[in-house]
Amino acid sequence: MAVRGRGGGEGVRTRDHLASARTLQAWFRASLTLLAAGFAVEKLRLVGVRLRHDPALAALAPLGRWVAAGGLLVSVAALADFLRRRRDIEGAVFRPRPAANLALVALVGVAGVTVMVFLVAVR
Amino acid sequence: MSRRPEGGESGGSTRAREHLANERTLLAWVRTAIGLMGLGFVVARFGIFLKQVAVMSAADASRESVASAVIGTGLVGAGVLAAALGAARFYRARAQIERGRFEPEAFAEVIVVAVTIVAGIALVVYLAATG
Repeated sequence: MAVRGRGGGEGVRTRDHLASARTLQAWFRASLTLLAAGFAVEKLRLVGVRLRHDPALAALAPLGRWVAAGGLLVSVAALADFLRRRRDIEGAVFRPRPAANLALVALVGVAGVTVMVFLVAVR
Repeated sequence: MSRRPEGGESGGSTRAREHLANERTLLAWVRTAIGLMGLGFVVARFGIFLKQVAVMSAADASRESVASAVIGTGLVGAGVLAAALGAARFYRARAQIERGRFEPEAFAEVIVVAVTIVAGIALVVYLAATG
């Protein structure tokens, strides 16, 4: 049987795959948190619109939706990355790709600014 | 199940570390399941809150309440599915570790992420439609 993995034996290969599955889960939870944040911002904005009829709140409509859509995008990217990593682990070379990590941090930054804007607008 | 001897290819306690890694993976699945259920609960129950606000502001929120209940229940269902698939994967991986031949799988991950993406798309569309 051909030896799979990057060397280090079956134990290392097993742990690599399990670590990869946990990494996907962590990405997926980050995606769920962004979805939840987007939902909360949008729905609490709606409560403000209904109770206070504030036109400034109506203008903030896309913010929560964009954060939620960003969360959704993170799920898709995480799944694609998981499948790619799976092939990398089975192959000879593992290639870390930090671009997705930086994109996630940027997205979280945008979500944070969105929540700040919301907090300043709804007092 | 026949027990695989301790001491892997490097002579260390590889078997124990593999089982512990498998256990951490199950716990990651459980945290994901709890996250899905928590989000689903909030989405489903927020409809009731909005209904109450609609009564106070004389707006119509009946459609909103039904949509949020359906999406929220779907997300809680995805959480239950994640817990069940995670547990099944844990037992399969446990047997594979004991056999000394691990087979990487993506079925559970693809199913749970796909179900959540569908629920997430419904959530974003719902947010856009009710905003």
